[in-house]
Amino acid sequence: MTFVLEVEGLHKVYPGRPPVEAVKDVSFAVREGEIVALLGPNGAGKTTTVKSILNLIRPTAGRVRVYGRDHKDLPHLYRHVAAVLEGNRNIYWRLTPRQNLEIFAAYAGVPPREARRIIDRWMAFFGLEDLNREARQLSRGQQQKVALAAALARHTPLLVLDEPTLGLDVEAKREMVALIRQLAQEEGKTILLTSHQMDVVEALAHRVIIIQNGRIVTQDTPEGLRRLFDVRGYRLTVRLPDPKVLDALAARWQAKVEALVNGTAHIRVTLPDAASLYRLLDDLRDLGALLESLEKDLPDLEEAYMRIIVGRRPPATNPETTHNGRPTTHDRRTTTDD
Amino acid sequence: MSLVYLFIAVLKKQLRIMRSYGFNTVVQIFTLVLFFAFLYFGSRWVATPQRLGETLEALILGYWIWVGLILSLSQFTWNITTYAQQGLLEQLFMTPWRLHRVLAVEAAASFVTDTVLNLLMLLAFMAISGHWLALEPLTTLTLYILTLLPGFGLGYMLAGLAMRYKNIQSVFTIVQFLIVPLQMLPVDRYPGLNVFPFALGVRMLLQHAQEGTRLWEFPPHLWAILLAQAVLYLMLGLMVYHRLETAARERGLLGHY
Repeated sequence: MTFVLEVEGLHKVYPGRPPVEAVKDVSFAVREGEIVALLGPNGAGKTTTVKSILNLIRPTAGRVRVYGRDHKDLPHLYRHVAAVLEGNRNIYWRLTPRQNLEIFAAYAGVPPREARRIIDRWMAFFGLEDLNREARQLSRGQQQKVALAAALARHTPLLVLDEPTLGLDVEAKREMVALIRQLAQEEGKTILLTSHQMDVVEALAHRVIIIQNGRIVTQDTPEGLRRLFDVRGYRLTVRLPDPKVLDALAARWQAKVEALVNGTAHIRVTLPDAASLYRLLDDLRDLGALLESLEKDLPDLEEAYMRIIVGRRPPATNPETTHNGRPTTHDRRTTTDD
Repeated sequence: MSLVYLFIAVLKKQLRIMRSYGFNTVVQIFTLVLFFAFLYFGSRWVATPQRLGETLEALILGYWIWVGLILSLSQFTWNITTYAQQGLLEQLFMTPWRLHRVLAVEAAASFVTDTVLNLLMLLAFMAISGHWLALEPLTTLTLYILTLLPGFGLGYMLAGLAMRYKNIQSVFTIVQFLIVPLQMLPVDRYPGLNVFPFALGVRMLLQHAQEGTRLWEFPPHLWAILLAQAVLYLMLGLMVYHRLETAARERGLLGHY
């Protein structure tokens, strides 16, 4: 598989007193058809990285190749890459969606006849045909769709999306995520995106590059990142005959209590091997505790991210309803014991 | 695909935006015409009718060229600042044409629309003053374009400054008023002053209005000086613009305002 984007030793120091080292020795590559996400906290260097790739910022050192050619070859670069950048609404507010797409296609040098075909296609794809109002009169979600459609009107195979769901409400965000996924799966677009929204990255990315303080901390698939921390952790819900049982569990199994409500405890344990689980269950029975549920404590991407970036778990929430604020999606086995 | 298609697309875009800002456009024209009326009636009040008659052509044509220059320059700076505010500057940078060419096309398209408006304003000036100048279209337009071309160079400089330093409204105001003395430089007495733009063009336009001198009747060296001024200031403007654009990219300021 060919690399459409290769970044080697990218380095950016902003001049000033003192100079600010925003990106340090960043290297990665993106294959054709891939969705790669740059994930990191605010100020991590994600936007500087993508803007350096796009040559909107002059890198201090390093090499960037887009479809085999140095990114300093600007006509080549901008025939292959389009971007929707921070703010996400970089469109003409006084033009309608179609008029926006027309001018963006012209900026990209798309021939008029081809432009008409491309514009019709993207107007239909994003459901913008009936929006014959100026962009300033549209909702934020619609404006963001127009910005993405305008970038696509440039007719490039590689798309760079900087925080594509920033500021969108839940419904608009879900729709945007679905559209981006469709762009990769059905339209064959290669996408490099930045985000600090874990659910967006988890839903979209084939590969995640975690950036902190301008450096790449790690890069892997979302599954790979989760597996990094896939220790033998379990979450249990047990009905206790006596709260003192918890002390015994803490002493014997280093069990951590997350919640204790009306004699029912939600606890987490980490076991050295699978066989220990059977011993734990035996122990619970001996202590008179009734096991109500048992699930594997597989960390989600947010937890993996938090452990990488800050070396700690995110605050736990009630496992009965949500896990990290949303329904659990990971491997869950629930059993009831007698 | 040629730049011609880009020009047509940009012209269409500008006409659409102008229509959207219809009220603003009307107010802008009205203000400029009103300002001329103040100038004209003010000078009639302080000057004798005979003296005013001698300078009326200069007043009309000088003001007309000044308005043309202000419209062109403001278009450059207004474009850069609003594009930066809306995040469009980065989008414009990301074209195979390169930003300075896109800006040139934008300026050329604005020049077309501004010239139409400015010609209407010239008619208004003549109607207000009741003094109808005998202007031959080809000579007038050629002189108008060549006189304004160095202004494009200044426009590039202002665009570069806006990109690098963002809020340059005060610089624009200074430039706006610097143009007036530049237009009035006594280039016929001191030919060395022709290193500065605008004055020679205004002189030639005045000569055309007052003496009926046609395009081909002007000495060739005057055309050569006008052309040299245009080339010199355009090159200077582009050079300054490129430096400031590089500095803006170095500091990551292209998308900021």
